[in-house]
This record gives sequence, C-alpha cells and structure tokens, in this order.
Amino acid sequence: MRFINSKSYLSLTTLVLGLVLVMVSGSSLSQRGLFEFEPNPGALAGSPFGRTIGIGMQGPVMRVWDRGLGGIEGRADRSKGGLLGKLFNHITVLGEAKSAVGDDLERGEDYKRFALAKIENRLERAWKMDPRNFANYALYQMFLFEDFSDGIVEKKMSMREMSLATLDACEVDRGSPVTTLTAAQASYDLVFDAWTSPDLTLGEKQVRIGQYTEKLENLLADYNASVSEWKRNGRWDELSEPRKEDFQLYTERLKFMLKDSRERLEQATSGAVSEIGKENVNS
Amino acid sequence: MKLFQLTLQTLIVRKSWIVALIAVAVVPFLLPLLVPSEFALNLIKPARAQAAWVILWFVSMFWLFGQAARQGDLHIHSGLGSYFRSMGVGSARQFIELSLAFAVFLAGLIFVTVLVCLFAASPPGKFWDWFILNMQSAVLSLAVLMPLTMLALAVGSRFGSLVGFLVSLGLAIYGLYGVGYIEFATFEAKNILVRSLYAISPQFHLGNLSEQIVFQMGSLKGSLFINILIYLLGVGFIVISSSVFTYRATAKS
Repeated sequence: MRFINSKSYLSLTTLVLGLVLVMVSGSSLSQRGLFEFEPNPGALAGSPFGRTIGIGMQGPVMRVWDRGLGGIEGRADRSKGGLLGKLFNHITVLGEAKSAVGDDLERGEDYKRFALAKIENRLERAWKMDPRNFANYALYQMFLFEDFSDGIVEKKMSMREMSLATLDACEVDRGSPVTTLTAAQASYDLVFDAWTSPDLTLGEKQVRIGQYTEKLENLLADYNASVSEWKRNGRWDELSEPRKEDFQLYTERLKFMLKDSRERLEQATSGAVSEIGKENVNS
Repeated sequence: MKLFQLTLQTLIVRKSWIVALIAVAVVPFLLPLLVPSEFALNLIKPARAQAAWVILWFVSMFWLFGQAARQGDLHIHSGLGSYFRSMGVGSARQFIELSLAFAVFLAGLIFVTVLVCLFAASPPGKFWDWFILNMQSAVLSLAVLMPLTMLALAVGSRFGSLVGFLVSLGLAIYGLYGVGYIEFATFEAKNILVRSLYAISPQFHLGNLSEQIVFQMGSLKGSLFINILIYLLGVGFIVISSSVFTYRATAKS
C-alpha cells in the first residue's frame, strides 16, 4: 500500500487520467466545431458598452496609422493660459515630440505589412464592437475598398459581406438617425458593389440595384420621420449647433446617395451597366 | 542597512524571482516564434525587442508590485516593523531600506532586458543609436516603475497586500493606457473638465518607449529626453511622498 500512498503515484495517475479524458473529449468536441469560437470578452461586441469602446478605438487606430504609415499632426494649443492649461500643453507637446522622433527610416514592405495587419485588426474590432457607428463602418469599409495594402495583406471579409452584416445590425435600432445613416451608407455601398462587381450578370445587377435603391428610399423616409419626431419631442433643441450642422450634412448625404442610386438604377435597366461596370473595374 | 539586507535575503530565498527572470530573459526568444510566418525573417529582431520590453513592464506590474505589496503587509503583521522601530530604525528609514531591496530587483530586471535588446535584437548598423534608445528606455521605465513599487509597498503596509497591489497596478494601467482614451476625448470636446483631468493625470506612457523600439524610430533627442525625465521624476516624487505618508511601521499607529 506504500505505493498508493505516495504523492508521485497519485499525481501521475491523475495526470494520465486527465490527458486521456481531454484527448477523448477533445477529438469529438473539435469535430463538432466547438473549439472554433470567436472570443467576445464580457459580451462587449455589439452591446451598449461596446458602442463606447467602438468610439474609443478610433483613437488607437489613428495612432498605429501615424506610427506605421503616416505622419503626426501637432495639435497643442500653446496660447491657452492658466496652470492646468499650461500643464496640458506641456504634456501634449512632450507626447507629440516623443511620437515624432526619429529620422525617416526606410521601414520597408515588412513594416508596412505589419502595420497594415494591425490596423485591419483594430478596424475590424472597432466595427464589431459597434457596427452601427457610422465612423466605424465607414473607416473599415474604406480600408477594404481602397486596398491600401496593394494586396499584400489578405483581407478577412469582402466589402459585400461587411455591408450586409452592417445592414442586419442596423435593423435592431431603427429609431436613431445616425444608425439610419450608417444603414443608408451600407445600402449605397451595396448598390456600388453590384454596379462594379464583375461576377454578377446584368439581371442580377438590376435586381440588386433596384432592391437597395428601394431600401435607401425607405431609410430616407425613416430618417425624416425620426428627425421630425425629435423636433416634436424637444430632443432636437438639446443638440449643440455643430451637431445640428452634422445633421444637415447627413440629410444632404442621404439625398445624394438616393439620387445617385436612382440614376444608376435607370442606367441599369437601360442595359448600360455591363459596359460601365467593366470600365470601372479596369480603370 | 540591516533591514535592507534582511528584505533582500527574504526575497531571494522566496525564489519567485526565478520566474520573473526567466520571463524577462527567455520568453523574448520564444514569443517571436508566434509572429506569423508570412512576415519576413527580419521582423524577428523587432519582435524580440518588443517582447523584451513589454514583458519587463508586465512582470514589473504584476510580479514586482505584488511582491512589494505583500512584503509591506508582511512587514507589519509579522511585527518586524515594530521590532526595527524598537531598535531605533524610524519608519522613514525603514521604508527607504525596504524600497532599496526592491530597487535591486527592478534594476536587475531592467539590466537583463537591456542586455537582451543589445545583444539579440540590435538593428544592423545602428548599434550606437540603439544603445542610447535602450538606455533612455531603462532610465524612464525605472523612473515610472520605482515610485509605483514604493506605492504598492506603502499601501500594502496600511491596507493589506491585495489593495496595495491593485492600487499600483490600476494607477500604472491608467497612466499607460487609460489616459490615451481621455486624450482622444480632448480631440472632440474642448471641455475644460476633460482637459483638466487629462492635465493632472500621470502620463506614464511618456516613459514607455516600446513604440520607439518596435518601429525603430531612433533615440529621443537629448532635450526631449531630459524634459520627459523631469516630468516623470516630478510625478514620481509626488507618488513617493504619498507613499511615505501612507507607510506605517507598526500595526497600531
């Protein structure tokens, strides 16, 4: 019985038992795809807090962009007085100077790739945190569209998938004008996508452009309805002047998108789209 | 310097420094293996340097602060504080000797990190600039981490090890990353409250040169380095003075 009492025997037995159990269950679990999960710590993505974080993450994206690819813009306001104001300026100047140091080293393709992969990750995370945020959507969409990486980084999503996912996410939150704007932008991007995609037939293009133009019309109506609702219940008057100007811009943007989509729809039904679509792709 | 020697011996005998040393000296060579293979081989060295410094900060924040808070707690509850006091060692002197023992560990970890960076991660043809950058990083991280270690020690002595650890860790994370989010808010709003909050927050991120090291941006200019150092020393002395104020040598005070 001395054998059973020994500590090493006990630990060895439990270890073997554990390994066997993990291996047996692991193979069946992985067959059912249970190990493939997308971590969502604290269920943040898509939640109300996720929206706050989604906005906060636009800052870090800019930082990586500045370090890896762009330059740094100074923004310290040296004219302000007061002790706290001076301290603020001092800190800001130090921080900017620290980030701006160094000669323009040739960072090379590797660094570009590294920075771009990092930027894409963060843009994607910000978008996942809150797909309804206009800036999160527009930044990620632009990243996918512009193809800054010249194809050196494999993109995780196609623009079409991303716009469709955004439209779905916006469905839940229909009363908000900003969400409506994001949804409208996504629909407009889908019109553009249908217009330029070489993999669609003319008939499919017509159907899709028609579908999303109609969607845009509905969204514009929604937008107008929620703004007039805000004006009626007094929420409009609580907005600051710059916010009101923003809303003016949103309205113009929505009207432009609808007008442009209608023109494309007309051209599509008259059959010119296949030619123009090819041109766009080639150029 | 009896207390200094005793504390140093205690920490050495406790042996958890071996884990910290392995983390700082060995993991920088292992972690870069995780860098995706589609990236070229010449990214290994920057990744190594990045890992070395990030791990140093990580180990200091999670291990050193924890040890310091625990030691502060233990020092009071084991009665050592009262004992040394009865031997004529005042509480200010005790605090300094205790802190010095932790300074030895912090300096050692930083030294190993610098060695790893100098001999295993130096960009070709730029050794001198790389050396200066690493020295600057060493000085600045010491200026940030030492006062926070002392804070952990002091708060640990008064409020227990867990509180001491969390206060220092929280302050470090706030100063390194949290203020970045406040900075972002100052872009948007010219709100005086937000700006003031940003101005009085400890800007520990100024002492973290990881970005300069990863993106190989070259060393800081001399005057800028001195300015940052003066600022961090200022913040450090404020933290140290609150630590001295918080520290207690006996359980009843």
